[in-house]
Amino acid sequence: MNPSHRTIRTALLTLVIAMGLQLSFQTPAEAGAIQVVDDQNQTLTLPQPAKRIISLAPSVTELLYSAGAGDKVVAVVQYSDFPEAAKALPRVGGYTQLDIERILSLQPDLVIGWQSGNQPEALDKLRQLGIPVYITETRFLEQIPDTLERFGQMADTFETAARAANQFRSTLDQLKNQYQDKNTVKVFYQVWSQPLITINKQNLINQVIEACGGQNVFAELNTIAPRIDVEAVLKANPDAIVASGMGVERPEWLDEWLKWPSINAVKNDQLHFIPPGHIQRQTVRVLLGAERLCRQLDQTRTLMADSVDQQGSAQ
Amino acid sequence: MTTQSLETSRSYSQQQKLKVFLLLGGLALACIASLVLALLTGSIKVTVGELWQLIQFQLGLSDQPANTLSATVVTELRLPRALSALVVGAELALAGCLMQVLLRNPLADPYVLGVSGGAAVGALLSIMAGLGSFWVSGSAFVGALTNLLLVFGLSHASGVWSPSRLLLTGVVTAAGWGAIISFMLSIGEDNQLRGMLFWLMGDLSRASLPGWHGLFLLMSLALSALLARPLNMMLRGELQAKALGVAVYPLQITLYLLASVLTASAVTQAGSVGFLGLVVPHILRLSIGSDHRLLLPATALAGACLLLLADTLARTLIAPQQLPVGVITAFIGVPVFLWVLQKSNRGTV
Amino acid sequence: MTQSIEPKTLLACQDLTVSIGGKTLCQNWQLKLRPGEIWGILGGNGAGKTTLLHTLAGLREADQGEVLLLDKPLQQLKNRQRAQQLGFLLQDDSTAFPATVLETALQGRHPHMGLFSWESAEDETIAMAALEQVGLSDYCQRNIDQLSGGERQRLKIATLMVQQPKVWLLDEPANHLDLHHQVSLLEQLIGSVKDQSGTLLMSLHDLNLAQRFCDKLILLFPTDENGKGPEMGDKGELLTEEKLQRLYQHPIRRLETDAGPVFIPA
Repeated sequence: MNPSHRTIRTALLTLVIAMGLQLSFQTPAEAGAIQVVDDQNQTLTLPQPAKRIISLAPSVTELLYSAGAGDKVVAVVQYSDFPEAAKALPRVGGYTQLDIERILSLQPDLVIGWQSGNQPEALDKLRQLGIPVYITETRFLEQIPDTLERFGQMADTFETAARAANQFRSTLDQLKNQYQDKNTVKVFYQVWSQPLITINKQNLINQVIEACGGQNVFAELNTIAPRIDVEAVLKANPDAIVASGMGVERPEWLDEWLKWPSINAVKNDQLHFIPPGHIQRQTVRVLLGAERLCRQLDQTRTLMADSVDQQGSAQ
Repeated sequence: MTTQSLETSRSYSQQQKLKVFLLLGGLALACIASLVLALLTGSIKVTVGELWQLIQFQLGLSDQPANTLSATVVTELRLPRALSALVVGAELALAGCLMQVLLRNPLADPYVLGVSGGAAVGALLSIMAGLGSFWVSGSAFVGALTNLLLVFGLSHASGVWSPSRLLLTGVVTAAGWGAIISFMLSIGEDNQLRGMLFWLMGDLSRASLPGWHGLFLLMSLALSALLARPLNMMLRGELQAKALGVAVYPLQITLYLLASVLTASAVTQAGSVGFLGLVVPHILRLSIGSDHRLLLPATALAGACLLLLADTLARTLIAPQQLPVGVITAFIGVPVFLWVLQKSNRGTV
Repeated sequence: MTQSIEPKTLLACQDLTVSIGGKTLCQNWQLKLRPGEIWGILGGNGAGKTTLLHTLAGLREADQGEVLLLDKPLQQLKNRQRAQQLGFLLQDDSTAFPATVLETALQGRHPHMGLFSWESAEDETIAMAALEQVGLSDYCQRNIDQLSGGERQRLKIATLMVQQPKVWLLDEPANHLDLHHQVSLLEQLIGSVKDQSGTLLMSLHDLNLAQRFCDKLILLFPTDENGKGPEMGDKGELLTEEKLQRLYQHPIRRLETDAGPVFIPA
């Protein structure tokens, strides 16, 4: 790096720190100031609505667009691939390895981080440099509309955000009313094949399964994404196997279960696929996955009822 | 000179042969016991009776097939995995033992010359390209062979060849692979990362029936029986071995190739399962001495047995959750090694 | 051992040239070791005693010329064939891996054993006899790294005895040995070499040992610009004050005593 570059960068840094100091001296009561509490229960005060937002998680990017704040996002992290418009935005590294200098140089007035994805040191660093940092951590489906509303507040697009939030709430309620209390379907959700990974009840996907009247056969395991073996699945004998894989296509490994006809799901041909973007990301699109899963599990439910009927009539 | 010492020494070769018989027999029995244990344990309950019935049926002694689910679980899941564990364990322990003599360094393990690094880069590339497990294994093997040729060529490049030169070349090449692996991990996508890390940790869950790997192991054991006595000579130094009539350079080349290909075969099946190749040869050296005619087969059997036990524990200890087998090999190996070291009166390792 | 077909020369050099690091040790050299002869090599530090011995033992290639073992060029012999006739005592040894005293001594049998065979009772008898000769038979189950430097040197000598070669090349056999063992071991060694009509060549630092045990000597003078280098011959001709002074670059006195000549540095 040549000296002139270094000087410029130092100057820039000073400028940004100065801006931060200025921010912190303003009182929350000041006109136009916005106050929100993030998922870490920290109160954040913005002197005015955010106009230059940087998203540090693919799911945050998506929620910002859903909240109507898409045009205020100036940069995102890698793999922010939805909606289409987000792909064109500048990148500030992967969510585990943030390019702090690049973030600074884009002069954001709000950075939205992700507790379980970003390095806490990096977020602290950004705060020290005077940038307002809002941190998300979605543990429950119900948090998604709340987050939308808060994003709307911060970006001054509350109306759009509230509309999206309300729609999310009503669709979710509707699904729950329709499916949650129907006959329980035992579900094995397969995150990956090698290694064989599933989810426990702490995972958001577990809530989607329960909303659809399913029961995750590995809900009680200790880790959020436990590694298991084939035998465990044979023993659990799920009524349906649901997998997401990596892309928009049904993973080939889902068919490896066909070797095991003793599993009810295999016997009844209940191997279901949901695109990962529709269920593994904590965004509005999770409802697409939920709707699809509910239909799939309902199909399983019907088949199960039929076979019980058949057995009943055979006796 | 006392008559007593003459008597004890007189029986030396009989003693050795008895030792061979007892030790190898005992270890073989331990392997069989571990195999039975591995076939009996798991999430699905399989009783001894069912297993016995299944064995009889498979051997054609009985027409009565066992309970179908337990039968399939045993033949399709547990048996291939258990046999792989035996083969991989034997290969790694044997390779470690050979590598230690070749490099005349007690700290050498099968991975020290970068074979696993080359294999890992191959496997990770395939995983990143989204290819299936056949391609992952295949490219791991190609990676391992690439490393073999690369290290061999580089250590010969200047014309002067010595084990220490080989060691340096290998260690630096391994570090190079390590850097490439870190780079690939840092640019990998989340879902791929899981598979990549999993491969690097070493695991037997994707293993199928060992097939040609098993055949190769048997051939290597036969070859190592030929090498055993010259290897004993090598322990006293290259020149001493040469003075006693060992063709040192051809022997070193054979050792290098054999140890590398054994490691390549093991890594292809199970990723880099750590620790086994370092500790098993040492435990045996400390407890039975350095006669390779006994040491090599004993090491192979002990490695096989240890990895199978470790893998059975890895998949059942906190079942249905799985542990990486390398963690268990270390948990078993470290205390056993330290205990043997404390007890040993053989001193220097 | 029968005396039927006694070869005239056990080890010979033909036009041998050896150099190391650009320094010529010998040029177009001729040497013949005959049955029953005991040879010594004398020379200062770095004179090339070890290099020369390694070349004669086939552990190192000669620059030119060849070494003949029982009339056959060393290069054409397999390592094993060579080791059946030629034994070498190395200066240093290694104990990186554990082994017992008996196991180590038995290694001397290696060149005489088949690929798969185990040591026979006879091999053991030979090994035990050698260990007894060097006074280590009580230690045969001990691990070698529990031996002292002198005991380890004696074990190396025993291993060489177990090898039962015709040609014995020894690099500083007196190393680490106390006075008693220097004399008694060399006496025993030379006794068994002569019994078997073998020949022995050793490098020595102690002029008095050379005077006492050797018939013939090689003085490793540095090769000068005329190509004149090492001198060899009967010890009587070579062990003079003048020659030794030139060899070691240090004044040396030869004193005549009842027990024969004695050499001391002046």
